[in-house]
Amino acid sequence: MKAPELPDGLSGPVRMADVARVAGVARVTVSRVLSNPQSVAPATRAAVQDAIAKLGYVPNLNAGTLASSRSRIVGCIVPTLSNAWFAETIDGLSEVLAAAGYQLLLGQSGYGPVAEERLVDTFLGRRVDALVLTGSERSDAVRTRLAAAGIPVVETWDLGLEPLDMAVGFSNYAVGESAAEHLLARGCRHLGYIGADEQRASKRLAGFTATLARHDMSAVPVLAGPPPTSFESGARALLELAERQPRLDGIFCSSDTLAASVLFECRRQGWQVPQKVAVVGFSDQPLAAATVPSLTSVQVRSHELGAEAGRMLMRRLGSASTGKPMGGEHRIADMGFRMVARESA
Amino acid sequence: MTDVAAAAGVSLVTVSRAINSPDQVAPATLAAVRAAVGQLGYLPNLTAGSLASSRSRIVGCLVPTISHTVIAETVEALTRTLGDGGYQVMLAQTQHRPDDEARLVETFLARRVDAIVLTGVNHAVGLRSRLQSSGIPVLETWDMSSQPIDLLVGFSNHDAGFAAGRHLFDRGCRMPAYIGSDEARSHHQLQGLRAVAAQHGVPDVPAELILPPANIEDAGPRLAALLARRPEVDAVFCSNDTLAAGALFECRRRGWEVPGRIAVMGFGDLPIARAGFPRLSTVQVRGGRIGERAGQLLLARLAGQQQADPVVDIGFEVVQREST
Repeated sequence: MKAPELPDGLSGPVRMADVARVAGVARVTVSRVLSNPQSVAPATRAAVQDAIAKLGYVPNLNAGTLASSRSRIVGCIVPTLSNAWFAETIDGLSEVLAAAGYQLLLGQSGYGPVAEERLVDTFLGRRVDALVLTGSERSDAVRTRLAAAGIPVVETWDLGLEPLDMAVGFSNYAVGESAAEHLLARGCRHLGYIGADEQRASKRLAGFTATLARHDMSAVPVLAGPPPTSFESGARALLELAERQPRLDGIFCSSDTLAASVLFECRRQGWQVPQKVAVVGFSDQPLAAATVPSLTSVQVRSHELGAEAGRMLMRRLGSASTGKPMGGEHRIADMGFRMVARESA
Repeated sequence: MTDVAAAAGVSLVTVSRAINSPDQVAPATLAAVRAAVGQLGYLPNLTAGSLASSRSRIVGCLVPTISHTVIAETVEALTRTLGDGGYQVMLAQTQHRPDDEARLVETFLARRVDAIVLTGVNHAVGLRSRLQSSGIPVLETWDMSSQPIDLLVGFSNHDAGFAAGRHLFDRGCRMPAYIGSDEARSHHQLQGLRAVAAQHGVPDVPAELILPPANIEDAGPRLAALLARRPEVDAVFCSNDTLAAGALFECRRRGWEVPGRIAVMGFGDLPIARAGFPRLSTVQVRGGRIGERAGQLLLARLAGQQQADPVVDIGFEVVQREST
């Protein structure tokens, strides 16, 4: 490959000092443009970027890592990107990190604790500055490892009793309680639940059934298999539920995907929603507002969960340029949830 | 690392291999090394290794936005495939902005990533030569080009638009329209649709192009606007199944029969296409397959193998269901 043509008096490899000379600025300014461009005046930034382009300079951010013992990389582990919730959380996290000059290293655990353990080890080996994990249940091995590593960790999508370090989420149990109260207030008395076979969904089910129990009622639960849940599994689960609970008049689904597939299947069966059966979903995806009838759902802000996790980390780590932690640190952010009542319940 | 080797009863190089390329180590040996690593709490410094070998074992991946379901499927499969080969994926989002893409490529190069994966084949001026002189493998996805930067795994969006249009005309439609994002891959689909329409003596295909990201709630108002402007439209091809589902819901809300009043065709074959009511006809593209093939191609190249053909066309397939 052809090397870029260099101006007179220069021979490769191009160093940061060369860029500084061509741009007519100090080396530290070049460094700042690279690590935290927002902190440099636009005109100066443009001059440095021009010089970088002209010289074909590629800074080595990894070399900086060893000197400062900061990699400016955050590792994030989600169960799977196939679930839109986690993709949206990563979207929000990535926006905040990018603006602060951090990069995101991505891992998928496939909902398995062993895979998560292995990814945590790999990321620690890469000297990530911080980790973002999904959920609040961790193996002892991972807890020990992370405590020893001493880096900031944010757990997302749930609020456990004892977060490893920081947590941003909501109470999945309270989501289940709220769904039950909504259906009871509508007058539903023969309730069912369709959900994924997974920890956080199980907590929503626990909250749902506990609330019904307080009213001397119970719910027929149908598990729609391991996550991520699909449209097909939702339709199948509805038919099973209708068989086990013939007077079924209200359903809480552990995801909007399941709830939408229940709406589609009800239409196919000729069951009126909400007259014959009311349906409540979870997470309030854009799909919920679009369906006919529109879907009542418990809104959690997936994107904002990721963005808040990013902000918590940045507060702890400080901005990339100064390395000084900023104030206002708090360990647990309960982002709450909101029942969005639409046509289906 | 010496302690781990002693505890596992293997050589130092085996420990190193178990950490860097687990697929090259026998499962039993791998298990022994991992047990020793766990027991001793050993943390290999992969960063130090990357300076010595000038390999970071990180692949940089640029997508418009990870919230887009089909793109998420590609990244899911890419991360999984590369992970099995001992590589991690560093992810960044361009928000459909070529300048952001160019800037993020610079960051990735500075991070000494071992390879870069891009979405689409339309990039900012200068990015091609910048990447070609970087000396690392570059892989473009989700479109087709006669002049890829380096490697390419995708399909022709133009041909997919053409095939969707041909299907609509075959089903008896006379006046197709298009709803998509205002970005390169949608433009290519629309060009294909216009080409087939011209063959059927239809000189103009009305289109609604939405500033990305296009969401499900955008489809209804756009469809209504399209039909108000051009009542003769009897079919609509949408740049993804999510928009097509939004169009179907709008038809339902307004009491327009599908496909009687208007035929609706999607793109991608997401799960919602099979589940919706009516079931959606679509152009099937396997986003997961793109990520998997991209990962395999990069692993082969990074292991020093040269590909006979640097371009993999994974193709597409028209799937007829109830909406056309």
